[in-house]
Amino acid sequence: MNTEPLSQELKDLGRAVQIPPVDTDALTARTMARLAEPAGTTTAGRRWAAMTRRRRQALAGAVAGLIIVLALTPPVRAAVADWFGVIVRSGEPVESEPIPQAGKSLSFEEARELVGFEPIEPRILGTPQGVEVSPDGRVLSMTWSGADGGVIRLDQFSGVEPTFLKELHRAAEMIDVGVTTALWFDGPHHVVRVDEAGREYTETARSAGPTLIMPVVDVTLRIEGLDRAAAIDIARSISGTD
Amino acid sequence: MDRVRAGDRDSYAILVRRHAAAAHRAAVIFGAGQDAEDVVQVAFVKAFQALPRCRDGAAFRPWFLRIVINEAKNAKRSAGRRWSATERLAALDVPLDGPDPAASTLSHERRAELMAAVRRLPVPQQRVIACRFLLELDERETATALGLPSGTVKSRLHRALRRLQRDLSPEVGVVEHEH
Repeated sequence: MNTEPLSQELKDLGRAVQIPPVDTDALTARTMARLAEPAGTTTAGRRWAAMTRRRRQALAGAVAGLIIVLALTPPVRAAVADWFGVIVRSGEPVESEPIPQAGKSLSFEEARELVGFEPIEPRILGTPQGVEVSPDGRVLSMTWSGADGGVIRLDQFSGVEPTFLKELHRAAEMIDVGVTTALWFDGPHHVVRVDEAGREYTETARSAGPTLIMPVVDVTLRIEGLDRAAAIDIARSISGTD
Repeated sequence: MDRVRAGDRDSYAILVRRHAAAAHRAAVIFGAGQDAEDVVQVAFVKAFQALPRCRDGAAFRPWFLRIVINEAKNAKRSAGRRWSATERLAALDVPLDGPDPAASTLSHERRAELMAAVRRLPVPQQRVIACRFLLELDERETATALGLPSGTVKSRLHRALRRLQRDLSPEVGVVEHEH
């Protein structure tokens, strides 16, 4: 198949797209002003903080609204939403199950080479007992032994495309964590890996325990096996927002 | 780049100026609409905080574009638009016939036909087409911008191009609809 002529046509199409003009000097100046001023200390800072707050509230509203709507909608007809790579929809309550351990054949460095994003190495948790990458190369998972003998599991993925689907029978909680917003799921719930179009890899379906989902700039973290306070502490620490 | 990583703001300003236009274009293509400029500023602020994670020697632009794309998605939501995992890339709602039509050798009809065919692709394929051709990134940069393994980008691009070729008939300029 010779795709060269079509490729060239698509590039031409790109050049015909109407992009509103942008003043790069002004944009640079405004960006640097935002960087220079800690939120809340100056007019610009306050504006920035207010903007961020408004955006967060809008997002929180959207998620809360979404979850309420889903709770009232039979799962079959439930709409889906992709929040930083996680689709949430309504589902039945489930029993908790043990958290699966990650495999032991990869080091963090080896796993890092297999995924298409730059994963975070959470040194605060020490050396992981297991590190693995999903067959589609989109999720890097690590597990540790918790103080109570349970498993702590961290999954990392790029938030650009749907990656996990969670079914909830009650609302998740939005939590402000430093510069970002996390979503806390407080009870056992159904979780399954999905492909980029949201289709389920049914063999990965399981019952997950309480979980924190936190987008950190360029990667989304999914932390399972800790209580709410510990999960937030770990999330803050490994994202550098504490 | 080392100076920027070390937190040197003057060096970062140079980086911002250099990548601002490309970032703004990506924000518009990925559906930020009226918020495109704000999306770019927020992305630059976030990128500054996350710079230590931009791998040594790795290109800044594709890594940064991923932050822009994620932020554009976010802005779309705050604007109260409908949420859906399968929603069409608002990307492709951008108007055609930019300020410099001479830059394109395609007829107005052909452009409209091509855009319609791209819009009929599944969303994940639209994303790789948008990065690879509308933003003119190479395959490796496309993979970084979407956070995907490069093999995934290669096969997805191949499928998308094959489907577009099937869908478009260059000889007669007629679009065949798939059912």
